[in-house]
Formats: sequence, C-alpha cells, structure tokens
Amino acid sequence: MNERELLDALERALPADGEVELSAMGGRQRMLRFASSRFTQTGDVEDVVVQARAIEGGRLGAARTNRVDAASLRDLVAEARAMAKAQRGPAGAPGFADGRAPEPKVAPSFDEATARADAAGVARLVEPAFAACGRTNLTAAGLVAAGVTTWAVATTAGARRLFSSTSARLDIIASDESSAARVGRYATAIGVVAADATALADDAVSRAERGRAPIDLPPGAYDVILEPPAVAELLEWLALTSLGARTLEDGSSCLAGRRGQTITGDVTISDDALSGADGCPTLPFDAEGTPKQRVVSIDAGRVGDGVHDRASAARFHTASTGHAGSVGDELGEGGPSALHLHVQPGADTIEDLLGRVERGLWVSRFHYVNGLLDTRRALMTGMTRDGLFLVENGRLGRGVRNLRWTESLLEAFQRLGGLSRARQVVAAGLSGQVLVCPTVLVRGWRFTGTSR
Amino acid sequence: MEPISTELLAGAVTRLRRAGASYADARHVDDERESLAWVATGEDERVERLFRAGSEGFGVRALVDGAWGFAARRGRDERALEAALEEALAVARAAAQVMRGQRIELADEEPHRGHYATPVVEDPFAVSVDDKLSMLREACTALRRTAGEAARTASAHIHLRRQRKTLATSDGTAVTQTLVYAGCGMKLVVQRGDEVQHRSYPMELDGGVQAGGFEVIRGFDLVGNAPRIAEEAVQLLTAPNCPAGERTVVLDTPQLALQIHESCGHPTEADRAFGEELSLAGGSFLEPGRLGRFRYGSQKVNLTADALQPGGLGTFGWDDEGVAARKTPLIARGHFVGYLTSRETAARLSLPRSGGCVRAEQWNRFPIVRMVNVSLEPDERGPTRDELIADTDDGILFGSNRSWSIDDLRLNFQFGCEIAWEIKGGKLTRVLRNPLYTGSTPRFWAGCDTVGGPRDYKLWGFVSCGKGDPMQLMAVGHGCAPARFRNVAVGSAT
Repeated sequence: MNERELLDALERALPADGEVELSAMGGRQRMLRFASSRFTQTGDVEDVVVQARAIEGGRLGAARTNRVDAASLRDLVAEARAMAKAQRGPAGAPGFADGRAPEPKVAPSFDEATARADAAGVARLVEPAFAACGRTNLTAAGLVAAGVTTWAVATTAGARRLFSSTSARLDIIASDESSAARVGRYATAIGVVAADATALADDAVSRAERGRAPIDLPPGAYDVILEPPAVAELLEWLALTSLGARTLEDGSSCLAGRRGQTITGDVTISDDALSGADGCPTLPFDAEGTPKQRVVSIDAGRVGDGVHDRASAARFHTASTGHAGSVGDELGEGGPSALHLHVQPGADTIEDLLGRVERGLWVSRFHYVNGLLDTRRALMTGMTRDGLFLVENGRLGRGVRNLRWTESLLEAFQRLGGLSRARQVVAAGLSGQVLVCPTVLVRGWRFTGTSR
Repeated sequence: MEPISTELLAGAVTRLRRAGASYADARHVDDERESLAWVATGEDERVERLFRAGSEGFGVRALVDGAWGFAARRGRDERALEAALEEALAVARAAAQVMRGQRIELADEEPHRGHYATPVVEDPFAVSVDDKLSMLREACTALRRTAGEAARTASAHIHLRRQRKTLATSDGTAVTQTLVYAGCGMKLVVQRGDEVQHRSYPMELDGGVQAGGFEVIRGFDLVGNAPRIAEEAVQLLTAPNCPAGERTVVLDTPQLALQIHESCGHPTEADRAFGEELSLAGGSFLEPGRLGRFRYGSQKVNLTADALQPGGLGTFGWDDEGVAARKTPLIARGHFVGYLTSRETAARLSLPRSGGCVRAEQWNRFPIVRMVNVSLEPDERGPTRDELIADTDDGILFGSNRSWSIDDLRLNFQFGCEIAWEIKGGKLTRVLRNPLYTGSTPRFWAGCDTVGGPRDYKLWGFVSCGKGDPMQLMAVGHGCAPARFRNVAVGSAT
C-alpha cells in the first residue's frame, strides 16, 4: 500500500456521522546491527499503526490496529466508539481537527534512493568500519539503517493530512578491551550517510586509538566540552520531564509557574519540526492533524512555552501547538511531546572551545542519564561513555576512564563557556526524538563517582 | 480470532531450509493491549487514556551462510508470510556478503510440541471499561481527599496485555502460547510552595504488573492503599533530606527488584558479555572468563533465572527460538555461575543447552537475549520485613524507586527513591526525602548480610525493560524479600 492508498483507506473508513479521527503511521525499515565486526541482528520490517479516536457524548475512546483493509478499519472505528460510550465519567473532550488551518511549508525530508534502498545496499555501508577496525586490532559495533515513514490523518471534521519522510543512520563504535569510541551520522538521505561512511570509520578508529590505556581522574568539578550526542541526551530528558503540558500541569516541570523568569544561562531551546535546519527531518503536522508550530521553551535563558495537543490546549485555554504524541508510541503515551528539539548555535569553532579550557574533559557521549532526581531543578545523573578525553592547555589529550556525574542542567547552563556554530542531528535512543545540538563548553561540571 | 496454525509456519521453515538456511524459525504473534488512565488536577478530573490496541504479523528468521536474516510483515495471510520469508533470505545473504565466511553455531534443542497458557482467573479484557475507570477514579479521589490542600495531581492507570504466539523452527518445534498480564498503579503529586514531591503505589515504574488476569489488579487494592500513600506524600513535603554518609541500608522489595534488574539481570545477559549490545545498552563486567571464577556477592546471595515461576512476567512455555522454559542459577552463594543465554550464546560458551532466554517484544522485532524472572532467592530461615528492621540498630529503609542510572558495564550505579525511613534501635523513625544510594555492583552485593525469608517474598514485574536497537520493551519478573546491605554510600538528590 502506498502513501496515497493509506490516506484513501482512512478516508473511506470515516463514518458518515459522528466525530471520528483516524491517524496512521507506518513504513518500512531496513536495519543491520553489528558487534565484534559481524552482524548480530538484522531486519526488514514493514508495519503500520492506525489509531481511531471517537467522541460520544463528549467522551473519548480510542482503538489501534495494524490491519488496513476496509472491514478492519470499520471494526476499528466501531471499537473506538464503543470505548467512548462505555464510560460515564466527565464529558468535554475537544473535537477533532477540521483541517482549515493551513499546513505549514516544511523543508523536504523524502529521498527516493533511501526509500528504495535494499538490504545489500544498506549492509555495504558498514564495510569501511569493518575494514578500518580490522587494520588496527579494533572491532566494530553499531547500527546501519534506512527506511521510510508515512503519516496520514483523516477526520470527520474535514482534516486530511499526508506526509512521508526517509531516514538513514550509521553509528560506529570502534573498541578493544581498554577503549571504545563512537561516532554517527543521521540524515534523511542514504547518500549523505554513504558519503561519510569512510570518514566516520576513520574517525571512530582514531578516537579509539587515542583512548587506549585510559587514566583515572578523581571525581570533582571539571570544565567539559560536550559533543552534540551528550547535549542531546540531556535535552531528551528535559523534554520528557519538563516541556510537555502534562508536567506543566502537575507542577513537576522546571518551567511550571516560571513563565518569563530567567532560569538558566544564555541558551535558546525550541521545538522545530518545520525548518529542517542542519538536515533535521521535518514533519508538518502531528498525530491529530494539527499543523506543527515552532515552540520556544527556553529563550535566552527565560522560560517560554510548553508544547500542547488539543486536549491540553483546551485545559490551558490556548491552541494546540501540534505536539500530540506519536500514534502507537508506548513511551509517549504521557501526552504532548517535543520531538524535534533544537539548541540555537553559538559563534564558536571547536578550536575556540578547546582553546578556552586549561584543564578539563572532552565528553563524546553520556550513558543511562536519568532526569527524575529533582525535575524542578532539571537535576540529572549519568555516566560518560564511548570517548572521554583529557583536555589540557587547549589540546585534546589521552583517554580517561568513565565517570559518573550528577548535575542540574539549569545550573550547568548558567556556566556556559561557549557554543559551537556547527550543529549535528542526533537520533535519541530512548524516545524517538531527533535533536539538533551544538558542541557546548560548560564550566565546572560536577563529576561524583568513578566507574570502578 | 483463530490462532495461526503451526503447519503454516512449519511449511515456511521447510522452504527456508530448502533455500539454503542452515536454521530457520517463523513466528506469528497476535498482540492485544488495553490501557486506561485517570487524572485529577484541581477542579479537573478526566479520562487521560483509554484505548485498545491490536497488532499482528509474522517474524521470520533465517541463518544463511553464517549470517542472520530477519524480516517481518504485518497480517495473517500466506502472502505476508511469504514476503517475510523472501526478505529474511535477502537480508541474510546481504549480511553474509559483508561478513565473508564467518559462522554462527547454535546449541542443540530437542523439538517441542504443545500449548502453554498463563493461568487466568478473571479475564481482564472482559471486565467493563466503566468498572475499571470507576476503580481508578475512586483511587484518585481517595488520594486527593487524604492529601487535602497539598494535593496537586492524582493519577491511576490499568494496563492489560494478551499475546497469542505460534512458533515453528527448523528443528521440528511447533508450539503455541497465550501469555496474559495485568497491572495497575497510582501516583500523587503534592506541592507546598516551591517544594514538589510525589508518592506512587505499588511503584512508579510500570506500577504493579504480574502474569494473570484481573485478579492481579484487584489484589493490589489501589483504593485501600491510597490513604497511606497520600499521608506519606504529604510527610515528604516537610521531611529532612536524607543525610549523606556510609550507612546500613535495608531495601524494600520494590527497590530491591530494580536493583536486581539493573545489577544482576542485565550483566548476566550473555549477548552483552560478548559485546553485542555495545551500540546501545552496553557491555558487562561479568566477562565470559569470569564464569565460575568470580565472587559477585556475599554467600547470602543466590540469584536465579526462572521462566517456570508462577505469576512472573518472564514465565512461558518456550522462548522465541523454541527452547523450553527452565530455571538456571546465575549467582550461587555469591559466586557467578550462569548467564542468561540464547542458543547462539550458549554455543559460544560451550554450554550443552540454551537457558531459554530469547524473546522479542513483538512479531516485528528480532529475538534477543532477555531476562526471564531473575530473582533473589529468599533465605528459608530469613527474617520477615519487620524482623529485619527490628534487627537493625542504625540504618535507612529505602522505599520505591524514583530514579535509576548505571554505567555501561553495570558496575557503578546510583538509585534515587521516593521515600526512605531512618531506622533507630530497630524501629522506623523519621521520613527522609530525596534519598539516594550509590555503589559498585560486586562491592554492594558483598555487603549483603541478610536476605529476608519466604513470608515477605514478592514477585514484581517490569514491562518496560529497554534493550536492543531498535528498542524493544520487554516484560520481565523479579522476586525478592527485603534484604540488608552494610556500608552503603547514601545521600540526598538535592
């Protein structure tokens, strides 16, 4: 079934009367995961999730399926209606999108070659990594993937939305017993990833070699240069704990009740699914068919807005920002979600940032960050991983054994020493977010433990 | 809907063998879920979530020229199965081209036939939606009534799942299973000034979930427990922070279950030990060379992987590559003696059989090594929870979890809890807020001087154990009685 046929199927399944929304997300993904320089998991997966929501007497019910034949979609609508009728609780569900709001123009996110890529073409992207690691007594681990995703929405109120995008990803970890280093590339076109495959492999190997025989450093406060994947993991947790309407409502968000107040340093964080800046994938509407808006949650350190779906917007007496959670996303069932966070770039080169560090640490990536310690302070803990290096007198030095840290993101961003001009698109592992982040210098990052 | 026949899948597996696969398996999974949530904030109370979800399809795996190929197609008709079969072969051949001559061996497994079903007393899907919502609403009302003006938001949820699975392997296994679990939970957020705290029951992480029907949910008695939870939440607003220092710690079972999960379950996954999770979850300090030679904890510590344990989320008849459920010791009297294994990792470890720990979240995911029910065996003559507290002169009792973090080798951890109580002279005294403890896995378990007895043993379940890339969320079980640990670094999150 192609994308047009998917929207047609939804449209045909809408009942002649009543309030119903049908929203679908589906596609095909090809991926190969590798470790010890061999493939360990592979996959070619084709699936779709269709969600029907129905309002009966002001009450909302929902049902989901992955069957898209006409009879199954009719049954799905009937089940959603039955779920809505089966309750006696408070009424007042807001209606569904009527489609009158124009769909915003977005940067294209679809690449035909990526959509058509076969398993052999995807697997070959790993060859440079296997070869480079083989030459240096390292082994390669990571993931290569390419795929296409389609979103479609149809409502009885009149909304019709359809959009497809492609993605390609190559992550390489070069490692041996004493060192591991990770690099990656995420793009909407497989050609972009293919063009970088050899350079990525060489970069991973070079970093892993630098990290061999790491030294121990005691816990304490160190200036850190955080690469984009490390910044992205912090922001992923900020989004989960503070940017959605649910956490603003229950008061646990670090933004709750602080609109307009300066809560951190000179950093601007927005959710932007429209611009495609730095190659970020785009999406013009959410699962409810509401056009997406760019939402600035932290503006030069001051508290801005949270993100809303239609239900939370009604409770906050505002309009939806187009951030309803993805259809079928189990982790996202907590309400509206910021899935395309961008950190505004600075003016610095990486050399500028390095030059400002007399003695500190270069952090490639974090591991197992948890942002639930004190969400009002955005207090988080985590470990470093896959590339921690000493920086001395502005120069990148040898590897350092991993460290635990516990730090308030709000307080850390008050100690910013610079942000890079260049940014990187990072696909988050936990939540399905895609983030665009610069490299960031933070003074006095609080490391609280060692890895031994 | 009628389950897919094992004959259909067996035919596909035969075709894969004829096409050159040295091993193949084909699964069909029909997955049903129901999820409900109620939220009450200020004047507003509402149904936050109410849906039923179904998903079904075929997952086909083939080992060709030493490389795995996996493909998945939605649906239940032969065309979908045939498409999955063709693509699995194509993916395997593509991988083999790049791997050039490497080989994968599998441990032997005898063929199995039969059907397994989770024992269910009360079909959870048959209980009316309105009855479920009424239960959640009543729990939220009780939470807010007890907390009074401090109440900010109360929420409660129910989550149900039923999977009908059919599996055929090229070894001749042809089995069907119906696995059912049910769970519920509630949470109260309280606020006074800028201080925000919360308590949840039975625990925030997934709530209380067990294999079984609606009797599981009734057993947790949300409404009956709401006043106690609300009182504790309000106490947290004015409680002192947990003081920093090295203390004796008693872990209550909700937190101990997570401690077991993170510091024993994950590091004993054999695929992690072989580096196969480096790109996401990480490795393991329990390297293959340490098997049978490494002291993991004190002699009080006995940990097992048991897929036969009644009520566990890791309980089944056969895993997703046709290995019969079994019980495997992981840590025996403090010594590291076993891994969670697949047929592939068992062969790499020169074990005669797999431990039967391979599962996929869904039909559309590659099966990987997962925890089953990884549990701390109770001390047959161990104390009850109350007796353990009475036996502790100076310590801290940690309640249910709020935050969790552990390094990529599963050594350095830091866990925060919603609540803790100081123990003085064998009695629980003041409530402590923002408590956390930190440590290194073998040192922490070496400090375990008492494991509780069977009377307070509790089997917990988590349904969101993340592993794999793309991420797979797995349901796993952890049983334990409260246990005591000496010389633990504790402190406050703020």
